[in-house]
Amino acid sequence: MSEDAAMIAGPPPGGTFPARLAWRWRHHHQIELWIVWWSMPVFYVIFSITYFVLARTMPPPPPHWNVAEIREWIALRHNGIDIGYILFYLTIGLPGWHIGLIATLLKRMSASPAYAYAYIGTMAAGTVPGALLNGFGYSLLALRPERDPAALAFLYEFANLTFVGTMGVFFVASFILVVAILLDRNNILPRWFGFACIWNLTTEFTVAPAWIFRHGPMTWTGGISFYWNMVVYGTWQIMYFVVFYKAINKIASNLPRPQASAESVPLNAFSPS
Amino acid sequence: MASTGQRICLWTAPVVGAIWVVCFFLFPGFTAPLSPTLPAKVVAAFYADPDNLARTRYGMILFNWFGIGFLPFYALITVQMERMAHNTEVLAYGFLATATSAAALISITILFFQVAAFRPDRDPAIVQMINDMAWMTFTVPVSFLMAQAGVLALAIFLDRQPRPIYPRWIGYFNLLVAALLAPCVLASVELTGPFAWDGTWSYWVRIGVYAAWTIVMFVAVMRAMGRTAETVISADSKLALRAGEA
Repeated sequence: MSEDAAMIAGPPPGGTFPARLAWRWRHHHQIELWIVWWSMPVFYVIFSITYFVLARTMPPPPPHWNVAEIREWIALRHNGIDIGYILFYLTIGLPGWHIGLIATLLKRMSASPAYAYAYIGTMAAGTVPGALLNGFGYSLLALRPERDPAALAFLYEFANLTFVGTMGVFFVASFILVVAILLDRNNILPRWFGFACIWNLTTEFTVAPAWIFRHGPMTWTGGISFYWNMVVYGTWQIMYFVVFYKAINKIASNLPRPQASAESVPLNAFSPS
Repeated sequence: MASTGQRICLWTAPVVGAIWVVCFFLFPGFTAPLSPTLPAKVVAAFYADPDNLARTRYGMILFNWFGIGFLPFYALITVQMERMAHNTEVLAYGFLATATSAAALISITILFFQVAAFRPDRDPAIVQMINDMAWMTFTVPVSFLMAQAGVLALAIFLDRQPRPIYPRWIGYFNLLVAALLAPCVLASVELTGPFAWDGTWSYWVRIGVYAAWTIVMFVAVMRAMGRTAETVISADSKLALRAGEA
């Protein structure tokens, strides 16, 4: 059976789950997109387990605590921080793959390939301050809880502020998505998701007061700077899985078969019909 | 023949590699990594020692210039990945994104070492904290390199064409590299033993694995470069042929 015929026929009926996976690995034309898509829920489940279940660093502790309170907070979750952040440090590279998937979709939009490249740049830079450094802050607190009070307080604030307060990279990345989606005439992603990205973008402004206030709803753990941000971001994140899932199916029908490199130099496979 | 631009990208790798080796021998904390168990006063004394201080400052200035220097080489790998027989660019872009984050982290590490050496008479507790941040940033974020090697392995296995860009064993080699790097994340919790940031695995094995990866990929990229140049020419000549037919 030729490759095309095998793909159209689909996996042989009645096969076991591993057999169906093996078939997809060998024959599915969009296998690379699906592998990257599946790394999204894997990463975000591990991320949520680290922050909310094991380390319990979310929701964040308040900014006005004294050193004794910070030490007690660390003591209560020492093992959780250790184990949780080991999982986090093992998987924090995966968002780089997700950046690749989103850039692939952006490249197929009618706006300009520039949006794909801008997205790769901003998000590859953003992963470091927006996610990783905050983990280091918590790990260093747990590594030496007996540390000098001034250093301890610095790490505590560094961890919490970098998590909530990394704004520009996500603001610009969301802005890139908004403009590309709303300009797009190829319907790669739904327009409503473009508007949802505007909502997500606004939270990067509402978190800004966290850099100033130590009491009230504007702090890094406050109702406006943290909880509102979490509600909007969480909702957006769920939409994100769904729209990318659908977008892969949409561009899938327009993809050519894998070809030898001599013929595959122009890679912009999508052509609006 | 590959273009001059591609050859420059390729040969930046051994030049940057050689400079990294010089930095390795200049900074005394690289030839004899600082133990995480050292008390704050000993860490501060390390930076305050006049000989160490000069070598740290000059070594790190050099490292600061070239810390991100492998990116042109990674960009060349990205270009070759775009030539693979895939349906989309997702894996090439994923490689570029992970490689960028990994390279940026080296730059951040260097900044921490430099800040520690800038004012060594600072409160020892603060010097120790900055030193901790430097070693944590240097050792723990192997996940970016793992994701970089992993996505490259995936790309190689899916490059199903009669003459793939890289041989298949390079894919298995990249998986091995990712697996060997994984235990280094334990440096975030271990103060002693092979997985602490001065330990045999998290320090020496990690550096060895990274050096081996760079050398193997350099040779693989060099070999593939002739190939990709050749295929570009053949694609062009096909277009020329088609134009002739029309």
